[in-house]
Amino acid sequence: MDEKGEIQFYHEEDGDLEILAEKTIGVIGYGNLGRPLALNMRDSGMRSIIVGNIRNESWQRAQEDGFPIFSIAEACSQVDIALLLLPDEAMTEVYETEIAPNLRKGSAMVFASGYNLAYNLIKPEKNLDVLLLAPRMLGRAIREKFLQGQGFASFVSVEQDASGQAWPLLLALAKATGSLKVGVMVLSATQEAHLDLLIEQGLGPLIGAGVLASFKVGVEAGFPPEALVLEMYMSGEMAQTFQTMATMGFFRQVNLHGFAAAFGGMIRSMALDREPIEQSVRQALEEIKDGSFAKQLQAEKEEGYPSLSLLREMLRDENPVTAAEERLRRDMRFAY
Amino acid sequence: MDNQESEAKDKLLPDALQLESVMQQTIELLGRKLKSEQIQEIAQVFQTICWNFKDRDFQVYLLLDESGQIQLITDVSGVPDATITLDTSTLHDAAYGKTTFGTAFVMGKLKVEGIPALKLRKFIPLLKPFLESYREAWEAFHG
Repeated sequence: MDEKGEIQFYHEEDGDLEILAEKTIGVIGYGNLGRPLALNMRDSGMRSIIVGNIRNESWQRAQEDGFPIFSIAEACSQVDIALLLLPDEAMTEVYETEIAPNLRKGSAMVFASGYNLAYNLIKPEKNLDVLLLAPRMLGRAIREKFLQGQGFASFVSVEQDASGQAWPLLLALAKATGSLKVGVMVLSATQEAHLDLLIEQGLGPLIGAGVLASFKVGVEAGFPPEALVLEMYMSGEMAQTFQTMATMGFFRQVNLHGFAAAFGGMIRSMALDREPIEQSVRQALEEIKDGSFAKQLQAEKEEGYPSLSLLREMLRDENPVTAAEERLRRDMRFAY
Repeated sequence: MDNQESEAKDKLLPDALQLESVMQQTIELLGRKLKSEQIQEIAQVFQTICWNFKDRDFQVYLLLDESGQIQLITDVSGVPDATITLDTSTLHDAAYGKTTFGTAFVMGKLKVEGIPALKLRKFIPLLKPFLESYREAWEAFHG
């Protein structure tokens, strides 16, 4: 927010690519996010982009895409701007051992997630610019939207302005990646991290519970499982509904549905006790904000991810939902 | 599932009386598998876990104490710290690898109550040794 407490947005005209003309940009981590951002920046005219990665498939892919590629430490020692695009949980260790010791004084670090900054898991040196450019879009779509000339929304912030030029630099980068075409909204790294976790832990489980409860009750009542998953999401109708929430509005899009749908939704929503749901979301937010969740996640990592086996069990293919999806994919001709 | 298959499957499942014996044995075996420190650590979070077998209308209570001991009892005063609700077949199938507790949970066949989200991870390491112990106990019981 600005001094008047208003939310700030920036657009295409606010970014000046000239600022980046003499800069070497390092894409650290050529994965789901690193690759599309690197390709977008190159297509925006950035000529000095290098990649830092470990030797894996992504290293190979960066080479095939024509980027000079180095170890993370080596790449960091060469760049003016380092886009740190490793997974949050991997970042802390790599930061200590390979990134921090090699970044040159006065260079800029760009985070795509506020998590490690929000929970003080990374404490940047005072002589660096620390920026947040956090796309609100999956990696693959970042590239697709760019190629369609559309761009994607991001949250941005300057967390540390050592150079005094951090904002113009951040907006230039946002423009190079394609994000300014839609616009960026200023939000601190802490708020970005908390918001991201809130939606993952507040909304996500509720959507999951709704889908699974409807599936269970529907199967018990004798509906074919295939019909249930088709109706709920595989036809694409629900995705379209979410899309019209974005284009028309959460409430306005209800007018696109018939009266029966609107009426049924209304009376069932009114009869639903929202208090326990809100309490559960409130509890999640409290534990996100006070750092309890981050502490548990850190303990999980330090103990070698003991909960991963249960998570894998939940996601494994041998369940009636996945089986119904597979049968549907086999017997219908979806384009996806 | 036809009747023949269903009957065959039923024969494999413990009835309520057998279940109590098998669960007693399961917990004895579990106590041998877990280190005392593991039990102590879990006991800091939960001391009474109710296993509620809804198909048998049968409950047993796993007690963990801070000295590192575990035992099974059939009645407790007060509300347990956590309750796991499932059918006997869900436990049986999970122990024999026909399903998993994870799948049972997402499909609504296993319900966990009373465990706050951030304390769930303390409970998770119990599951695998518990299932192994149940299987060993059932096989010993069944012959």
